[in-house]
Amino acid sequence: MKNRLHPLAGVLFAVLLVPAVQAAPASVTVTPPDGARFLVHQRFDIRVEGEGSTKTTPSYTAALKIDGRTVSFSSGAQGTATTDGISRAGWGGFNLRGYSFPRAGNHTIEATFDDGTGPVTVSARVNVQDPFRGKDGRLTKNIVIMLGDGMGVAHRTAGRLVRYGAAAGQPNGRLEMEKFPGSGLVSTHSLNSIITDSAPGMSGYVSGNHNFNGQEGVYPAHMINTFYYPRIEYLSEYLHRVKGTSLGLVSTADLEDATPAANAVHTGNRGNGTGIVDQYLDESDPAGTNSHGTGLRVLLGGGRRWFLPSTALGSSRTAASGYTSLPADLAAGWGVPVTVPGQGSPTRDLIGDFRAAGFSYAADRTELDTALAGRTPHKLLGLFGYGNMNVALDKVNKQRGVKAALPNGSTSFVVDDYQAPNQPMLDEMSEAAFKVLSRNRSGFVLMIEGAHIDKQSHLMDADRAILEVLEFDRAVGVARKWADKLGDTTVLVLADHECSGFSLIGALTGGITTLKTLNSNVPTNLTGGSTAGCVVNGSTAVNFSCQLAHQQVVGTYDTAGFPRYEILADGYPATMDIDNKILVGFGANGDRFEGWLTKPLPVIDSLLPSNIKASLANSGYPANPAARPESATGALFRGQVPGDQAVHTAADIPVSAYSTGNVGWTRFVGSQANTDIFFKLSKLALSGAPSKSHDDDDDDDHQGHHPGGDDRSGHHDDQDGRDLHH
Amino acid sequence: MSSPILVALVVLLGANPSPVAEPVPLAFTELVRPTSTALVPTQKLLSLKGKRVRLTGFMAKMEYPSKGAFWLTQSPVVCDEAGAGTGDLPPNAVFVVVRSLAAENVPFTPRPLEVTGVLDVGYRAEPDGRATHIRLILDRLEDLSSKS
Repeated sequence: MKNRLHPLAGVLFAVLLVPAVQAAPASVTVTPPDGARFLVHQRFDIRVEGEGSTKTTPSYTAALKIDGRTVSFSSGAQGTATTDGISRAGWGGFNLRGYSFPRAGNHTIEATFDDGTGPVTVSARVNVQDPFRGKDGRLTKNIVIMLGDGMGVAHRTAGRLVRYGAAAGQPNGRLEMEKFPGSGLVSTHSLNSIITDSAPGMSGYVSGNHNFNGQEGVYPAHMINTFYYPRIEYLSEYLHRVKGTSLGLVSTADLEDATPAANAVHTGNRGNGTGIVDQYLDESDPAGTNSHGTGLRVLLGGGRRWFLPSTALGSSRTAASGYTSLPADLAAGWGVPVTVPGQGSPTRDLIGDFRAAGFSYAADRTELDTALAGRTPHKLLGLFGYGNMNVALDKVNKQRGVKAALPNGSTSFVVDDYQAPNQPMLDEMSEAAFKVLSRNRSGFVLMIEGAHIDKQSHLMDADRAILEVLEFDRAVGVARKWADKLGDTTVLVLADHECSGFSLIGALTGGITTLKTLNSNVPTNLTGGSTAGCVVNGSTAVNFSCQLAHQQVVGTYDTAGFPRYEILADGYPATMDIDNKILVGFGANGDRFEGWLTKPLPVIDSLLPSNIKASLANSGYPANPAARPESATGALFRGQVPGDQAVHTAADIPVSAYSTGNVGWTRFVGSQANTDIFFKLSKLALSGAPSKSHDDDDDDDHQGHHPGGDDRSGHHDDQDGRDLHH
Repeated sequence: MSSPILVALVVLLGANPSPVAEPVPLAFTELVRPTSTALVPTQKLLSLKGKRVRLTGFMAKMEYPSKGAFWLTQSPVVCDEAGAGTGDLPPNAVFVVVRSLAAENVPFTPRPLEVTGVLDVGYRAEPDGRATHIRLILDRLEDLSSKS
């Protein structure tokens, strides 16, 4: 969809018109910002705010015009210092909650704000699109967004090479996401930076609007509670009102986290966990009125600690990170409750409240299987870890019976150390979500996140990051299987941003046995020649006749060859430490020690360069140097960014699209902004796309259509068709 | 940067004219236990509430650390902004309060540490809005890698 407006470069908010008088309030803004886009009838909040003069007690007044017509605010007392009562000290604010445009086209919002020292006029031009116009064919009923957090092109390539390898220049197979016929690129910028974080990185896809970093489903504001910030309606909310759809959220992260929350929760602080998880339930429309809320019916992931009352060990609920009520006009404008019993209270038993609202609850993999074994529930809550779920490698190792060596010399299963010994894999969680959501004849919006691709990329742990891609891709296979089964489904594989500048620089030479003996703290010449002049970690020598030991084993160009990994029956590599393992560099790296071996634990340690000479001989680390921290022997690579973690990049990310019932996948071919995705999905859901012909299905097969996927439970809806469309 | 501050902590906090009981060694595996439906503190943990204990672990590296305190974990942990900044802490992480650094960030020390102090158990909402359940009011901290 083309944005008909061309926002002035660098202008985030309003055109400021200041009259000739010198005194005037500062920082006057109107939201939505200039250039915002909406659907017809998509709700959003309008807010005018400004910082009062410090020379006199402000007496704030404001007036609002939309397309030249005067419109009343829903809150904000005129001629007072307090206005709406929820603006920060020193600020005045006036709100119009839950507004929407009934007609498509370009519109103007103009406001005048005065603190008693002189008026300031601000305005914004917004564009409104009609997703109902032009019945194009068959409607998309189900929307599935597969979100690989931080996953760029190179992450996918690495996953493919590990899973399938290549020979004579050809990949030996394709990941599930690579078999989708539609390919495009997506820019990932946020409202305030070319480099986003996961909050606006997700909300842009599902609201059509950019948000500030750290904020989700809201515009920025100066208000006393971040849950009061001006809202923008999500895809889930809009389609729930318009079509009665349900929402499902599945993630390997703590469910408080930005990616799942930025599909359903409105807050100016992604870290306000208590309020975020409360809002999942409180604005889910549990009674099924279809008049408001998200229609949340499936919520699976980590973060149990936010759902436990403070009387329970491990609870993270606090009053400071929540809210007990919403402003009356916000609640009225959005049709949500002003307050709900227990909302924002540390003592709230939120799991109990979910159950009372009709959700079945599962705390581990076994309970998840049990919940789905009989009649499929209408609603499902699964909390499989206290915080983030563990990474794929650690979950797989538990299933394989492989323990990790701890720094004190003992061994244990990492998942056991996190008191979550029986966690499902992402494809199993996805299967459960589809089973429950497919009960809704009106369709659903489902977001499935592979969260730890990003986390492990930040930590520059290539092996774990690649395994996360493989776990995520298995879930993509489940999504495709269900799209084929249900029909009228569009599946997108996306990322919120790229992380770490992940790049495949070559493959190991010399083998793992030799690698385990290397020490970049001593001069090493692997060619057998003199070590005179060879650099070591921290060396300032200018003679680079031989590089660090761990650099000397990086096989580039021809010497990379074609690494081949043994894949076990569970779909994961037997080991990542093969003799010519793929080696990954990081273009957005922090300082790190690199030993190229799989780290025994998710993090061994992160020594700062100033501790390069620290001795660990007597600190309880095992004698086996391969199990020691990489700082003991690894090559020190100084970062291009400060600190010891890699960062997000501004690189575009690939989108892969698949659709059944229509050729909606074709809409995502080419380059687009992240917010364009929202308008394309909306149009597919409300005016559709041309139907797929039988020939189109044949074309899919020719491109490598790979039907099916594992249904580990053995339950087939074909055998119980009642569950497909209740 | 961290060593001089650690020395100062040891001197400042270790100097106590009153006779104190020998700290009871405590392992992370002795802090919590699962029941069929929940995680609960062990009897040993509850019996040591208000007593001096000694634990060995690692300071969690936090993108958003708490002022005047740090989290001690069994194995090294890095927490970024995910999960409100604490998403990767295990449930048995111990919140170590460093009274002398009340308004400051405790300098990060990546090496194994031995902490000694008075144990406190029970829910508390900290000033930064985070909840804690197992706390240690620090008396003494020792960097184990400096032991010969």
